[in-house]
Formats: sequence, C-alpha cells, structure tokens
Amino acid sequence: MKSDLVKIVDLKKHYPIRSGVLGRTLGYVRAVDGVSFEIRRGESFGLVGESGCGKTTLGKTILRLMDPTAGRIIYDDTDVTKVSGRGLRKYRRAVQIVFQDPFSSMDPRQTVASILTEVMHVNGIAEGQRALEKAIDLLELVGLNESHLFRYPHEFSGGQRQRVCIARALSTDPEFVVLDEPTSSLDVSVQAQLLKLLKDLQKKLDLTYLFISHNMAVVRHLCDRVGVMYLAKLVELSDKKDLFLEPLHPYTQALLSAVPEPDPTVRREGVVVKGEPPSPANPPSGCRFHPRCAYAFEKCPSVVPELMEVNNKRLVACFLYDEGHVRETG
Amino acid sequence: MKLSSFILRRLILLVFVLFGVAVLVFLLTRAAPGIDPIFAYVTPNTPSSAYPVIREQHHLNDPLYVQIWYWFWDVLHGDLGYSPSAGMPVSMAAAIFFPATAELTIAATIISLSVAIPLGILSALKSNKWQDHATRLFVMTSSSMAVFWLGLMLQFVFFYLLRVNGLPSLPPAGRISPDVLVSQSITHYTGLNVLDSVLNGNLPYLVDSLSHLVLPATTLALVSMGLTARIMRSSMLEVLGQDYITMARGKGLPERVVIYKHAFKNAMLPTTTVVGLSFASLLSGAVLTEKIFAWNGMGSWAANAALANDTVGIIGFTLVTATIFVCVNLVVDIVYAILDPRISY
Amino acid sequence: MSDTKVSRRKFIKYAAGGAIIVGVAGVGLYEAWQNGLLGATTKPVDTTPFVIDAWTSIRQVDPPSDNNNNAPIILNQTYEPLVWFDKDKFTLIPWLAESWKASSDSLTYTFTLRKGIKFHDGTDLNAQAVKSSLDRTVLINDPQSAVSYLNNSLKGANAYSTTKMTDADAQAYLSNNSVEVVDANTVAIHLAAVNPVFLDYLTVTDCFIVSPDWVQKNGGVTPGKPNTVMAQQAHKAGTGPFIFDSWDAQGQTAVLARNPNYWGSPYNTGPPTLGKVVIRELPDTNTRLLNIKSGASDLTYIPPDSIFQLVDKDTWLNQGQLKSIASGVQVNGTYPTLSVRYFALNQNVLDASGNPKPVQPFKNIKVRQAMAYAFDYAGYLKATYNNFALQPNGCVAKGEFGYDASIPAPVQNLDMAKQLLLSAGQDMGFSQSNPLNVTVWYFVGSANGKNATTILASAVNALNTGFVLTPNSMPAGAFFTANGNGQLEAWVLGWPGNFTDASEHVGPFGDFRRGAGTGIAIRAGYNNPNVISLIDQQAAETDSTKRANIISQIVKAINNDYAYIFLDQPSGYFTIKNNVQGWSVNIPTNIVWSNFTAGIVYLYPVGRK
Repeated sequence: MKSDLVKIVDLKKHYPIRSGVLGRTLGYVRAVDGVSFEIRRGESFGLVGESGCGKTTLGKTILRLMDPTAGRIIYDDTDVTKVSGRGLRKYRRAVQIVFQDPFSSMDPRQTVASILTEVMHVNGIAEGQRALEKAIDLLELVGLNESHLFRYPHEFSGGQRQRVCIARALSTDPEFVVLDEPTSSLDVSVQAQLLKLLKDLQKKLDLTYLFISHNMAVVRHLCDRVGVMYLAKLVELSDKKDLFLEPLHPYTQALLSAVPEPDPTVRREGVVVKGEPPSPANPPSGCRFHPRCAYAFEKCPSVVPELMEVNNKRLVACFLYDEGHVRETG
Repeated sequence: MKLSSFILRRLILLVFVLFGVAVLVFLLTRAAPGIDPIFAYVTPNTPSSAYPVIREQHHLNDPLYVQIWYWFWDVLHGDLGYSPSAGMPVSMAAAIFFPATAELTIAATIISLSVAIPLGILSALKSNKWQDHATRLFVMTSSSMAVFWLGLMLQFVFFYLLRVNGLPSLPPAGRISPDVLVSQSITHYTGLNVLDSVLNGNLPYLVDSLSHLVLPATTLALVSMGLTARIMRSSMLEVLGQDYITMARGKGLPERVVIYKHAFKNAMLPTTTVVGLSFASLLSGAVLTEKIFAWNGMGSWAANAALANDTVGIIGFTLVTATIFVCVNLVVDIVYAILDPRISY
Repeated sequence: MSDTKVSRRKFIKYAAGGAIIVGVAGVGLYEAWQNGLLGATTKPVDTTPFVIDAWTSIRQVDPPSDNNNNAPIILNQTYEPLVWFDKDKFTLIPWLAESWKASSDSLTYTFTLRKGIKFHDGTDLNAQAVKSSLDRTVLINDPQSAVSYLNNSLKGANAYSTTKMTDADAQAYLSNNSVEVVDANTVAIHLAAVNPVFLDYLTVTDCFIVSPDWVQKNGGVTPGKPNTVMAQQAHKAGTGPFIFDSWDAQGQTAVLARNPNYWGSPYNTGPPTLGKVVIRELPDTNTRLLNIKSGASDLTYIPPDSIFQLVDKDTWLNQGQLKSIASGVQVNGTYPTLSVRYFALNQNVLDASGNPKPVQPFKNIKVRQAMAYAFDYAGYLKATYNNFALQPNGCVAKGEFGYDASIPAPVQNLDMAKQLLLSAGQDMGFSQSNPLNVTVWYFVGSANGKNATTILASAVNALNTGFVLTPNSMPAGAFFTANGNGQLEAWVLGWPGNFTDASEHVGPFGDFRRGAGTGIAIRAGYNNPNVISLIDQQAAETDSTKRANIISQIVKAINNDYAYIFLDQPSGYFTIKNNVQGWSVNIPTNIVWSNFTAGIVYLYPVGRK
C-alpha cells in the first residue's frame, strides 16, 4: 500500500457567531467538527457531501488558508498545523488549490501572464523571461497556448478559465492539489474534457488530489477512495468501488440514489431524504442525520456514532452496523 | 468598439440629451405658475408702457413652439441669452462661475477621497472591530451634519478663535485676501486660482488661494465623504470575500500587496461610479456652502436666478449642468475602462 | 400686466433686514477738517487696504446697466454726476457742474461744467463727455436699470424706448439733440415736459459721467444691448476720488485705488488718504460678523436680527441708544431709508377673469379705518425690526422732499376699531353669528408680511365682530401675478424711493391711472380723482414751496381715505471700526435698491486714526 501523504487528525474549524454592539460571542458554527482521514501518495481522494456540509472549509483548512480550531494536519510526516513563515511558505508551494468558481478566483485586472508569474515570483521559483517561458509551458500543459498569455480572465470561456486556474495551481510544482468542485460550474461536455485533463496531469506529474464535490458521478470517474461528509462530520469512508457497489450509511445511499443513471432500463430503489439539512450552528443531538434518516431508532438521537470499521476495512458512522443491531429492511 | 468611437458616439448623444433637457426646461419655466417670462427682462423701474415692446422683442407673445424655435436659433448662433440676475450673458456667467465651483469641487473631492478611501478600507479590514465602529460613527456623523452649521463652526474655530487669540488663522470666506489682491496681480488663464497662480509662478497668490480653499472644501468633503467611505467599505468587503483574495493570500503574497494590488483596485470600481456622480453634482454647485463661504459659483448663480425668476439664467444653468453630468459620466466610463479590463466599448 | 419686478421683489425681501445708509459726498467736511483730515495731501497715504464686506452680489459694474444690487457701493466712489445732494439737507448742489439754470419755460436746463477735471484715463471732462454719457444710457436702455427716469424727461427718449432699438431708431433719437453741446464747458438738456424732479433724476447711477474715450475702446455703444465689457471689467473712466482698479467677477471683489489727481469735491481739496479700498461680497451674516469683530474688515452691515451681538439690547430697545459691546467696533445710526412698507386694503378685488367680486370687504371706509385703528404699530416695529424702523405718517418717506413732519401718525385704538367694525357689520351684513372671512396675503419668505398680517389678524379677530382675517401666503411668483391682476384682498409689500423726492411715493400710492407695474393704487382699487388732480398739479409745479404744500395735501388725502396702513420705514445703520474717522452719513442720492442690502459708503475723505 502507498504511504500517506496527508493525514488529518480530529480536525475542527469553528466560527464564532457575534452579535450586538459589543460583538459578544453567542455561539459557534461548527463547519468542520472532528474529522480524521488520510490521503495516500498519488491517489485521488474524493470528498462528497451536500453544499454547506463543510467540505470546502475542510479543504481550505488543510491548505492552511484558514487556521484550524483544533486537530492536526500532518503533511509528508511533518506537522504543518502550526507552521508559519518559511515553513508555511514551503508547505504552500507543495500544496495548491483550484476553486469552484473560475470567475471569482482570478483577479479580473490581471493578465494570465501576470497571474501565473506572480505565484512563481512570490515563491522564488522563476523570474522574468524564465517565468514567462515556464508560464507558456504551463499553458501548453493544460491545453492552452502562448497566444493566451496576455489576455484577461474575462476573455476566456469558463472551461478555459478553469484551465488557467489549474495552470496557476501547477506553477509551484505542487505534489498535492485540492480540487474544490473544479467542474461544477461548467457545461457537461466541458466537464468531461477537464476531468480527462486532470486525470492526465495526475499521471504525468505524479500528483495527489483531494477532490471535493457533490457530484457522485464525477467522483466515481476520478477518485480512488471516497469520504462522505454530513454536517461537519465524516460519515463514511471507503474505496470507490465498494462505496458505489454497496453504500453503507443511509446518507450515502440517499446521495447515490440521486445520481442520474445513464441506462434507462436500470431501475433503482429510491431512498428519499426528508427535509432540509439542519444548521451547522445548531446541529441535532446524537447522530446528526437522524432527523432525516428513514432508519433512525431510539439510540440515534441520544448517542453520537463514531466511525467504525465494518466489512473489510470500510469505515462508517452509523448504529445500524453496530454489533447486536439487526438490520431490518424490506 | 474602440474607445475613440465610443467617445464620439457619446458626444453625439450629448447633443440629443441637451436638446431634450433644453426643451423640457424651457417648457417647465413657461408652465410654472406665476412666472411670467417677462420677469427676466424688466425691473421695477421699467414703465408698464415698455412691456409690450419687451414682449415683442423677446417673442413672448408668440406660441411656445415659435418661442422655442427662436431660442434654439439663438443657441445655434452661440447666443444663450442674457441672464439679468447674473448681470451678464449666460455664456459669460458659465465661464465665470464654473471655474470657481470646479476649483472647490476638485479640492473637496481630493480631501474627501483621501480620507474616505483609507477609512473605507480600514473599516472593511477591521470589519466589526472597534476601528470599524469608530470609522462608521465618524462618517455617519460628519455626513449627517447640516452644512451651514458645520461651515459656521469651522469658521468660528479656525478663523475667529485663532485670530482673536493672535494665532495664524484660516480665511473664513472668499477666494483671495484683500492684501494679496491689492499687492499681487496674476493673469487668469483658467479661472482656477490655484492653477493660475502656479502658471504665473506667484507663490503668495498660491498660498493664499489654497488657504481660502481649506474651510469650504473641508465642509463639502465632510458631508460628501460618508457615501464614498461606505461604498468603499462594502465593495472592499465583497472583494475580500472573493476566492482570488484567498488565493493571493494562499500564494504567500504579503498582506499589503494583497490589499493594495488585488482587493483595493477591484473595490475601486463601484466607488468610481459613486465618486463620479457626487463629483458631477458638486460641479453643479453647492448652494449653501457657496453662500456661507462667499464662493461665487454655479450654486450662487442658480439660486439667484431662481429667486429672481430669471428664466434665461435658469435654462442656461440647466444646460451647463446637463453638459457637466454627461461629460463627467463619460469620463467615469473611460476611467472604468482603464480600471477594469473587462469593460470594452 | 403684473407689476412683478425682480428688483422690487429683492428689495422687499432684503428690506426686512433694515438698511445702512452711509453717507454721500463729503458731508462730513466740517468734522473732517476738525479731525485734521482736511488737506489730505499733507497726510501720508494709508497703505493698508480698507476692507468693506458687502451683503449681496455685485453682478455688474457699468453705470447705465446698474441693476441696483451693489454696484453703487463701487460706482459712488469712482464716478460722479452733474448734481448731487447736499449733506444732511437732501437739497441738490452742483457737483461736476459748477452751476445750472433752467429756462423760463422749465424745458431746458443749461449746465456749466467745472474746468480742469480729468477722467481717470487722462481725458478731459467736457460737454461732449456729458452728452455721450447720457445718450449712452438712453441708447442702451437697459430695463434692469433706472433708465426710465431719464427716458421720462429727455426729449425723444421715451419714444425711442418703445421701438425695437435698431440703429435707425437710435439715429432718430439722436437727431432730437436732447443733450446739446453748447460749448466745451456748457451743456444744455432739453426736456419733453416740465419736470420739477428732473435734477433728482440726474443723481441716479445711470446718469454718472463716464469717459467716452474709454467706452469707445471697451465695447462701444450698441443700441438696446448692455455693454458686457464695461459690465464685467473694471474701468478707469470716472472722475471720483477713487479709481476703479480691478474687478474680480469671480470673487465678486472690487479693488479701488486712490485717485492722486482728485479735484476735491465741493467740500474739500486734495486726494483721499486711503490708498486702496477692497469691496468684497460676503452674503453670510455670520461671516461678516466674525470679520468685523476680529478686525478683518473695516466696515460692514449686520442685519437687525444679529445686531445685538454688537450693541447692548436693553439700551437700544429701552433708551434708543446704540451702545457698543464689541471691542473696537461701533454701530452708527440710525438714518431713515426711502422705503415705505404698506398694508394695502383692496377696495376692488377682481376675479380671475378681471371682473369685480360680489363681496368687497374693504369697500366700506369704516372697515379700512377699523384696520388702521386695530394695528399694533409699536409691537410690529419691535417684532420685525428690533425697532430699527420708523412708523411713517403717510406714504411719503421721511427724508424725501415734501415730507411733512406735522402730519400725525396713526395710533392703535381697539375700542374705535370695534365700534367701526360693528357699524360696518350692520351696513354689510356680517356679525358674530354670520362672520365675513377675509384672507390677507404675503409672499413666502417675507418676514415682514408674515408679522404684519398676523399682528393685524390677531387684533381684529379678538374684537369678535364677525369680521375675521386669515393670514395666508403664496410663492413669490404666484403672489406677484395675482397681486398685479388685482386679485388679492389685502397684502403687505414695500415701495422704495430712488431719490429723495416725494414723487417717488405719491404717484404709486395715489395715481390710479398708473399701470400695475409702476402703481399701487390700481392694484388696491383706490381711485380718488381729487388726489389724482393734486398729483398732476405737483408734477407741473416748479415753485418748491407750493409743491411741498400740494404734496402734504396729497398725503393727508390718502390718509383720510384709509386706503393703506403704512407700516414702517426701515432705518439704516452701519458697523464700522472705531479707528475710522472722517466718515459722513446722509441719505445718498442713489439709494435706489442697494442700500438696504449693503450700504453705500462715500469714502472721501475717510482716514484711520
């Protein structure tokens, strides 16, 4: 088995809720509330969940774009949770991010050349003519060319802009790239091209991906292992194959049933999730999914389920798989 | 479209805008109850026997469309009419009063921007911290203050109190001091005293002109900076929430560079619009400020014309103001194009 | 046609503030001599600028186009007329003219000019210059000025003013030769009709003598068009003690320089001591107050509502004395202005189509008389002017020729008012149970009008006779239109005189034949044939004693008809630094419209201690 590149240990990110003139803290939004997993070198780790479940916050916290409230981030056997200055810089060279919205993730007033070389300049990778040459290489790497160098972001289509974003991410020669829903704002046909590009790049440059998405179909296409988040907690973690074949957590089941099936002859049993996701500021007691869960029983509202290993090293946080409980589904 | 053809198109449009404004104002002055257009041409000394001739001379007996036609004919020949309340032709009045207002407006805008923009940025960066609250309190207070009260207080403190205590003081009103007026003479090229004294290389005149600008410009700036600071704060907050700012920080750019290069310049876009509009409205004259500080500009002229039922002056003033608005908007659009590469014409 | 006129309106507005009337021509000769200022040639020139803060805008500075704002404050120091008023007596004395005489038919006046006087541009004052100046005023015929006086007297001028003023029309006027050059120092002026106040007309700024050379080089003369070069630039074209050195139209600031070759006026000799005079516009009262208190200006005007920052309130209101409470500053006064404010009681109210309305509340003389008895004169003067005004005894202002001090002013008598109204009620059919409601009008922004209507209404309504007054206001434009069309039941306005002759007031108040523009009588439905014939008599009477007698009869007749309640004649005063001396005060010739706004100061021979 490959070694772990990134290891997250009980990571928490809480935002204070302030109110009034004096700004007293009334409570906390728990965006990420005790998440642990590891990403192996060279793999694509998918992180799925509804919007607002904290997956983007988790991604940004891992990259140290936000400081975690608690927990640890270990990168390449080094604890980077608290590094700063030179250490943080070094870490940020090695890890990069591609955002969901290619329209807001680039300064509209910078040309592509400036966007790409600024990163190299700041990180001392290349200067002047060399930086430009490298920028051209990067553009060609992502399927663009030299002619795009002095254009502004608004002159590109959505897919092209996302390619520029990828090029920017690659300009520091990173090992680890967080892809925060990089395709969700694009047309389906463009999505496919971009996914192919990402796959090729991973192979060519030996990259490790954290792929954040709410789109199970895309995750299925790109990822090796998948973690499922619900309301700031990881509820299931397993290999892609197992997950799609036999989802364990009721929430995962619901997510998968929402994936459009390309073959109209296949009929699948729908699992319907009731209601809206609750507010992360005031999460339900016990299992956070219990108010919406079709299988919830008396234990669910009172005790918080931990991730436990079932069936061949798969992890799931659900009492349905607790010893002594017999699953009764019809 | 290229910028030059855009400007050309807008200038052509200006003609139509002015035409529309002119017709509208002309009709309004004629429709206003109780304003006999002959007021513009007579005084109490005019015998009633002369009224028919005056009406005849100024075509006041003709139908409205004929009157408008005569008026346009004169305008096309460069004659905007004679404004009795100003005691001079409209074109001359505009040439005299506009530079005064322009000078005051430019000074006020410089002061306003140099305070409001840093405050807006500070407010956004320290959002909901005490700096933010203090800034907002200051901005709200200053822009809610009555102009005349603020003006009087500034005069009282910076002129009277300083002067009676034998300290150097700022002049309370006017554009130039009597002793400088008597001892220095300069050629007026632009009508802007500050610029003219620089062009003449006359230092005492420059210093005196600048000192006269301080109080009125500060008054105008204080009351107009509120909007700018608030727009700056909110657009700054919006930009700071964008991914590219997160990205820029993630790249390891120093905070100073992130704020200035990425956040500030983008946040300036909406601010430019607001500054442009308030600049244009200041250019059309600030009646109260001009009155308090004896600054003879567009505001004084307009107020006098309105009080004297000087319809010719009112129409002339409105045309000048409309031109200013269209031109300033054009300049704002051009500035926009420079600031924002997304915009093309 | 409405009589609504811009400057008249301006006057009414500003008259609320009272007036400064600061001296004319060298009236302080004796005092000046006593103070050692006489023979200013021996005194060193005072180089510190003498600063005057003026109230309203000086919009233009050409004498024939003087639209009565503030220009006289500049023009009186720099230009001179043929005749001006004597100190304190308001009688005419020769000024640029050495002497004059009228022909036996009183249709020609011949003036002999003083010799050796030069204009500021170095050219000579001669008969041709006088002719050019007066003809220029007629030809420009700026309706914003007081040119109609000249038009009413010079032969052919009135006819010209009703033409389209083409070059041919101008030639037609000039062919009258109504201002005739007899020889280099003699000029004859031919009148269209006998006119006892013609010499007064010559004192208005329109008739100041201007160097024709200078005019020719600066815009020339175009018939029917104001000269914008002269109007907006300083001109060294006068003969006065100061040279109009510069005029900053932007800053509305004039700089006057001492005329080293001044001929000395009828009272004095030698050039003035003040080196430079700066006259600047400062419309904001508070700024002027701060300036004079801190010594940044030498002379200014502070209206009555702010004056108690400079003088003790109790001393003024109780003892009538202006006791200074600001150091280094004194307030000097008071001097009557030539303005009379009135409450007109319309005897013939018209409806929108010009027909008399069925109910005429003021047609009955008992009602009008009752109003005059009900009004609280003293209360009004105190509330409106802080007592900086006089109660007139009739339509003629104190200070005008023909003013008769022996005519008693009305006093409040509420009992009489009540009896008269009760009696009128029986005649007209109103009573407490069947009241007659009448609106009394003023225009929006007129503090005097608001005070006067409120004071009268509260007194009359308290009598409980069924005659009920309601004060109401209209925007100025609508007010003047309705007023000009005779539609207002009763209203408050003021009428200023342009010079010190009663003709300025008896005509407007008494002559029903005048148009609404130049007359009040027609708007008030006041038509007394006896008064009209007396007005005609005085206009043709060249004997001044007889004329004064006729004027006195006119005033009494109008009073007896109770056509108007005469409310106030504002008093002038001015604020000046203590170290300034040699100033003199009089009612100036061209009080025109300006004095109540900024004051006219004759600065010869003023000096500083």
